[in-house]
This record gives sequence, structure tokens and C-alpha cells, in this order.
Amino acid sequence: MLNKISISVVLLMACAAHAELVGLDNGELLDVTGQGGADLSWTLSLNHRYANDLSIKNISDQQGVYYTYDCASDVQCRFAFSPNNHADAAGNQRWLVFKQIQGTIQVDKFSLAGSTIINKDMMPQTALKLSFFDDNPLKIRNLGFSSLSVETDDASSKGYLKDIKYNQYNAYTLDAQGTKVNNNIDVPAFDKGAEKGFMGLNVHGNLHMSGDLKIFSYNCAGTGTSRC
Amino acid sequence: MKKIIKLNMLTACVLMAQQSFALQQLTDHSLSDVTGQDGISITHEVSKINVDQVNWVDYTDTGSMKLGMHNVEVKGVNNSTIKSTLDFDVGTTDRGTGVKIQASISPFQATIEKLMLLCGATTCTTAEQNLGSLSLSTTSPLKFYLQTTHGLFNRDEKAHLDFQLQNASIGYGLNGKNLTLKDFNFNFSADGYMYLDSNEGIVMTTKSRDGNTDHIVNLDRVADSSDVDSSRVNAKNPGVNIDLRYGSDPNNQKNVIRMGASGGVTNAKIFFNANQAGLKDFNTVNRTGTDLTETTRSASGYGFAGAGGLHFGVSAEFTREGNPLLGQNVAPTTLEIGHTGHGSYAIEFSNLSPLAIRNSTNATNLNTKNAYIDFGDIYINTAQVKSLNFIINENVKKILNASSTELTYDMVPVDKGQNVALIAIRGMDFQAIARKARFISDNSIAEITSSSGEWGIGIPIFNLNANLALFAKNYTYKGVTSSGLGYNLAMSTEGYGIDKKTGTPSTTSIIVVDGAKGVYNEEVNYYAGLRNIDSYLKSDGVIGFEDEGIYIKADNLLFAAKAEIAIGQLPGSLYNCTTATGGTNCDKKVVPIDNFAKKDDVLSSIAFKLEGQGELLIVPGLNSANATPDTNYLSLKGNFKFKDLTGSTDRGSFLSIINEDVKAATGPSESSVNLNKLQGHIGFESRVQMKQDTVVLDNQVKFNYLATATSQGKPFTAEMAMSPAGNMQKIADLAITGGAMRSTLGITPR
Repeated sequence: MLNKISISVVLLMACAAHAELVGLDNGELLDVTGQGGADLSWTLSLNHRYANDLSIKNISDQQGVYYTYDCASDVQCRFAFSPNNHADAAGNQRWLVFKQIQGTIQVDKFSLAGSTIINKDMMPQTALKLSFFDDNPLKIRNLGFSSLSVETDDASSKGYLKDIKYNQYNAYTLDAQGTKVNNNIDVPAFDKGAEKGFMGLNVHGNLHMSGDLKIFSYNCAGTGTSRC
Repeated sequence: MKKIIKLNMLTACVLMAQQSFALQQLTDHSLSDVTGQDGISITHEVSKINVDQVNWVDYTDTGSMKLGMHNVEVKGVNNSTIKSTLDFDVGTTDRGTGVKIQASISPFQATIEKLMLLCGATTCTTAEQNLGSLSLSTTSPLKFYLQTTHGLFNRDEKAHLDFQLQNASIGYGLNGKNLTLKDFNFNFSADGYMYLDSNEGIVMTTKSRDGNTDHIVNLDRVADSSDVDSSRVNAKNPGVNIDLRYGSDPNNQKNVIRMGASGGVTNAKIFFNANQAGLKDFNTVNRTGTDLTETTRSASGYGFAGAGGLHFGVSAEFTREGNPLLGQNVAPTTLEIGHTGHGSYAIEFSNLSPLAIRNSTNATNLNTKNAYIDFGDIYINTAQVKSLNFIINENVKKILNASSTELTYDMVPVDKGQNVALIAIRGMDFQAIARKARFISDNSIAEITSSSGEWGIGIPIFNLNANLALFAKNYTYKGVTSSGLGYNLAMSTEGYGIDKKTGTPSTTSIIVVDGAKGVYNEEVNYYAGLRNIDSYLKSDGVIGFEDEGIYIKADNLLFAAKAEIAIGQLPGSLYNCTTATGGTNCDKKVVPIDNFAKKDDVLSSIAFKLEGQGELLIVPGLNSANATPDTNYLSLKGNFKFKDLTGSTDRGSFLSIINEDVKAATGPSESSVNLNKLQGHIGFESRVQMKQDTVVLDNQVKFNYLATATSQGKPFTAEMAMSPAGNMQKIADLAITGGAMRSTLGITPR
């Protein structure tokens, strides 16, 4: 758990650090590294067979692939998000619900090392160097969600636990006398049995990256044009 | 008929064999052999020893609490007798009159059926508590050799001590299952001083009174007598070998973890007395002030401790290559940790350094001090305790939102107090950062011959304080009620400060270190990881031994910590750049000595508080003749239920990512992104696989582990909030209704 947290934190920091950088040019970045470091491999899987079964050793093998959706009940594989002040007139909270959220990502090799850079004050500073290699792409497998829906709490249930599936709809035909005859008709096969929602997403492919990402500390002193 | 005769013959032979071992009357001739001029030699032989009770009585508090070993049986191995010899000699040395004592005890098995905590007074809450069983067995003779130069106890004259407890087995049992230290070694050869002191008690130390002369304790490696691969020549285990195994079948125990230390250590000291005055004293560091040296504060609630308790301490410094005391025959200190059992791997650490590489920013002022371990002051008491106080530092106080740095926690029942055995640790330090590490294989498989990588790990610990109360407690697991070992633990670590005893910068961190040579041909000492960890753990519950593994239940768990995610070079290292590549600021520039007190290396800080209840099962690895790291690994299974919120203002359990900036105009400012009010019922399973060159951490989290196809359980919910300028501002609610996430991280050091 801690690993996941720390890695996601490092990734978050990567974004944060890039947002704040000022006044550095490539010429100032030295590439002086020690010999040590570590090669890392990482697989992260959510709601796939690989995620549920620890006896599976890799995301695919000769018997098949293990990055397919696996959930005890569709209602349990959801992520819901409710920003402040999103409620109906009665004060019931509204949720943006990502249904059947899933995905597996894998990098077979990326490496971590220390390196020394010269910072904007012309002083040496240590940076965390992450290297990605073209022959070890980020494998993205079935990453996404099947439907996105806005659900509202009610007296009996939280919005994100509502289990509504497309099955039949009420349609009418006109009989010979011209009066309406209501019928429950199956929805088209494409949507039948699917969870209610308006959009889905599925990302599948390889993302090739090559190069180094250096992450280092930056103190926002509040001077000049720095925004903090 | 013939069978009966044979059986009779066999019985007679067995009886005769035993008689032949019986002691015979000494003749005058043989007496003359014994009463020579060279001291006394005593040989003793015993077939079995039975002891009903041995009790240690603590006369303070209730006046009658005892910790006892009941139904003790000691017998020889394989039906042979236990032979012990003792040679005692006094003679003239160049320093005065010296003593020589040599003792040896042949292999034996000792079992203590019940470890009892007794309270005899009418005010006692519980009269008798069974804390489990103990066993000790040896496979080779236990040897002891002491030679002094002047008297038996002398602060100023050197003595030599050899102690050889080799390939022993020490077990702790509950419900017929044992946690065993297999192939336990405590094997050393030491020079030093042995003395009695009115304040310190009984002391053994390697350092002279004036501190100018030091000696070596050699933790000499011991030949491994079990499961050695045929390709191995002279296979050995560390001089101090702690190899934990678990299970009910003593011949096929499962594998938990192995740790070891070997090589020479210096400045070693062991003391043993009964002074309880320091039990109430906690060291803390005020990190907002300018002086970061530890200060001592006394906590209340320790009035029960009196003359009856024990107080002892153990400390030692780890040697590095080039230490002049090591000489030709003693190797520098190496530490080992890893998995155990057939086909397992571990990591060996060497080139152990303290945190600071130099003493000042002068490039020639290298720090020659050693890395060290100091278990601090350890106190053992039996007492009837109503509540205990514990002192934390300001950082932890802030995370806990506590009103004071002195916390009070109650025992059960609080009105009468609980009868417990209390183990307290004050000021434990482990200041060692390994700049070199390599994978090693268990003696049961071929040795790893490939060259070692240039990397290391540092898990330094600074100012660890702990109270561990132990008592008997029943628990229910899968519908079956068993007797277990109840515990109530409070523990804290200090992130950073100047150690009061040694005057050196010290830290609690978990970092990886690049120990390769940099541009100045010395260790570059890049580090990355979590540094300056202030933490507080409070848990009470029960430990039970189950078929699947060791079961630990926490009825009330509170874990709070703050740490910095940092990347940099260890204090006092040389910046890894030259004038040619980085300008004049790079000319042998030294990383500040108080680098860990500064924010220059910090990418971000994390803080969290987890409060609730949980269960943990430590599942040991399976042992078999063809085991591999894929079949023999340690795994942890558990679940955690966050504590219910008490109201809308309760922040509950939370996780914060904090950014601290020092602004030119206003000074330090803090902003954070937070997940507050964590709620839900989380399940997890972790596997740690030590492979030949890789550590694989395989973790699975179930966000709503009690949910099934028909029941929705309790979704994981949290409140996302930001604190851009001190005030917490909620952004959104989020919920994860269930499902599983798995992360598999493989780390292959270079």
C-alpha cells in the first residue's frame, strides 16, 4: 500500500515540480551520475483478473490474457466523485460515477538513480533521475470505464450504489383505431444489460517513452514572478 | 519366545549402558590427578532436571507480582546425559592475580511448559496468567571461557571472554504452535573490562575508563550444521543469527524471516541493574527551535516502578574496513536480512556509516565515528497498571491534533488496573546507513558468485521509545476461541535531532543509498526515500498462533506519522560535480552537515493518521527440498476498518501531501492536499519475494473487502480537501464502491 502511495506521490510531484520550474535551460543540467541505482518493473492493475488473483504471475501468458474485467458485482467496481455544492433542490448529493472502472498498466523496466544538476542559483543540487527506455513501453491494457453517469442520492441509497441497467424501454404503437398501445421493448443489443450512463472509455496500447525525467526540490520563495 | 528373550536382552543392555554412565567412587590415585596445582576442575553429569517453579518477584506496586517459569524440564539430547565441566584457575599475571574460568555444557533440551504472570495480593485484578511456553535446545556444547588479568571484576584491567552458543533452537509456544529461532547463534570472542558499579550495576564494556583504549568483540561466524548445499565449502551463518521459523511440527517448520550480524564491533557495552529512575524519562527534540539536541522530559504514571524491576542496556559500534582495531583476523561488521528456509535469498549490508560523512564543511574533516546500535534503556517490570503516559514530539502532536505532547492511555479495567509484564524502551538508536549491499543465498543452495552492486539501504532509527505491556488474553478466530498473548503497545520515533549521548546528527529514515564512487573517488552517497520520520503507534489487542500463521489483532489501532520524501546526498558528502562541469561552486563542495534539518532536498512531505481496528495474519513461507522464491515467501494478509467519525468536525483518518516553502517575505509556509475522513473496510494482502537479484513487492488492496455479489459491504469514502494557506477547504467527496487493485513492483539494484 505504502509503495503505491509513495509512487503515486512521486508521480504527482513530478507534475508539481514541472509546474513551478523557472529559469533553467538544458545547458545547466549536468549528467553526472553515480554507478548505483535500481531497475524497477511495475504492474498496476485495477478490477482485472490479474488484480483479483494473486496466484497469477504475469498479465498474460501462453494460456491467455489476464487483463480482462473481473468484478464480483458491477456495482462494486465504481469510482464516484462529488464536487462541492453539487446537489439537487432537496439537498441530495450528486455524484459523477465511473462505472466498471478498470485497467492494467505495466512497465517491464525503468530505472532510478541519483544525479547532480546545477540549479538556477548556479549551485549543485541532487535530482532523482527516472529513465525510460524505448524497448520497454508503458503497456496500457483495457484502461477506462464502461459508462459515466450522474447519480443522485435518495432516501434509500447513495447515488454511487444505484444499480440500473438498460434492459427494456416503454414504447407505444398505434393500433388500427389509432390508440396508443404501450409495450415494454428490449433495448438494442448494443446497450442491453449495460449499466446506465452516457459515455465509456477504453484505452489499449503501448506508450513508448525514451529519456530521463529528473525530479528535484524547488523552494518557491515568493519573489519576482513566482506564483506562490 | 525368541522375541521376548531379545527384548529382555535389549532392556538389560539399555540398563547396563546407563549404569556405565553412573559416577564411580574416586580412588586416591585419581584424586591426585584432580588436585594438582592448576586450580579446580569439576565434571558434572546429570540425566534430567525438573523444576516446578522458578519465580522472579517484583516487590513493588502490589508487593507480590511474580514472573515465573513453571514445570521446567531439562534433559540430554537423544537419551544421553548432560555433561558439564567447569575449570577454575587462579594465577599470577603481569597485571596482578588473574582468574581463568572455563565451562562447557553438552547438548541439552530445556522446556518451560508455562511462563506465568502471577499476582498474589487481594488487590490484584488477575491472580494467574499463562503467557505461553518456552524451549531451548542445543546441538553442540555451550562453551564459556573467561580469563581476567587482575581479579574477577576490575574496571581498569582487561579480561577476555569467549561465549559460544551455536546452532541452538529457542522456541516460544502458544496453543501447540511455536515461533522458533532456528540455528540461533550468539557466538563471540571479546576483550574488555568487567566490573561492578554502584550506579551502573554489573557492566561489561570494551572501552577503558578514560575512553582512550577500545577493544573488539568479534561476532565470529559459525559453521552451519543443517541443510547445506554440496557445492558449499565451509558454509557458515552469522555470529548472531536470528532465523525465525513457525509451525506446529518441529521437524517441518515454515519460514518467516532471518536476520544476522557478524564481524567485529567496538565500543560495546552491556549493563544490568535495577534502577528504575529513568523509566519515566522521554527524550524529545524541539524542531522549531534552533537547538536540535534532545531534551529530557518526565512523564507521570510510572509510580509503580520501584526496586523490583530490571534495567539493562546493550550498545555497540559497527566497524568499517580500515578500522585499526580489526587487525588481520577480524572482518568488518556485516548485517544480513532476508527470507529463510531452503532456496531462499537475503541481503547482506556492509560499509556501514553514520548519517554524517564529515564533521564540518571542510573537505578534509572526515567523520571517523562508527555507525552504531544502542538499545537504550530497557526496563522490565511486573505491575498493576491503570494508565500510562507517553511523551510525543510537536510534529506528532500536530498530526494527532492532541492538546498536549504528553498522552495518557488506559489499561483494562481502568478502575482497578491491569496486571501486566511491562517492557519499556527509552531512547533506542540505530544509526547505520549501509553504502554497500549484496544479495546472498541461503546455505542450502549454491553461492551467488556474480559481483555485487554499488548500492545500499539505510533504515536508521532515532530515539525510539516504547511501552509494551503483555498479558494473557483469549481471542476468537474463525469461530474457535483460543488463548493468546494480549498486548498493549505504544511506540514512537523521532525524525531528526542531535543525539544527546553522542552529539551527532541522527535520523529515523527509510532510504536507498548509492554507494558508488563519484567524481572525487569517494562514495557519492546519493540517497532517496522517506527521511525524518516522526511516528507514533498505539495498538492493543491480541497475538495468537494459528495454523495459517501468526495472527495479530488490533482492537484499537492508531498510527500517525510524518515524513519527508527527499532526494539528495548524505550530509558531509562531496557534491558529485567538478569545477569543469559545474563551475566554481562545485569545487569539492561539501553537502551541509545539517542537510537533514534543511528543506533543500525535500520534494514533498507526507503525513497520515490511521485510526480504527484491524487484523493481520503473518503467513510464513513453505519449506521444501525444491522450494524457490516463488513458493517460499513471506506474506501478510489483513484488513482494516477505519474508526467511525464522531461528528462533522472530526477529521478522522487522513492522508496529507504537504509542500513547505520558505518565502522571502514571510518565512516558512505550508500548503497541502488532503484525503480526510477516510471511511470503509479495506482488505489487503502483501507478498515479499526475495529473489536472486530482485525484491518483488506484490500488494493487493480490496477497497471493500466484505462486499460480495449480493452484499454491498461498506464502500471506501473520503473527503478531498486543500489547505493552500493553513485553512482546510473541502473540494469534493469521493467514493470507491469496491473492487481490487494490485501493484507488483520489482526492484533490481545495480
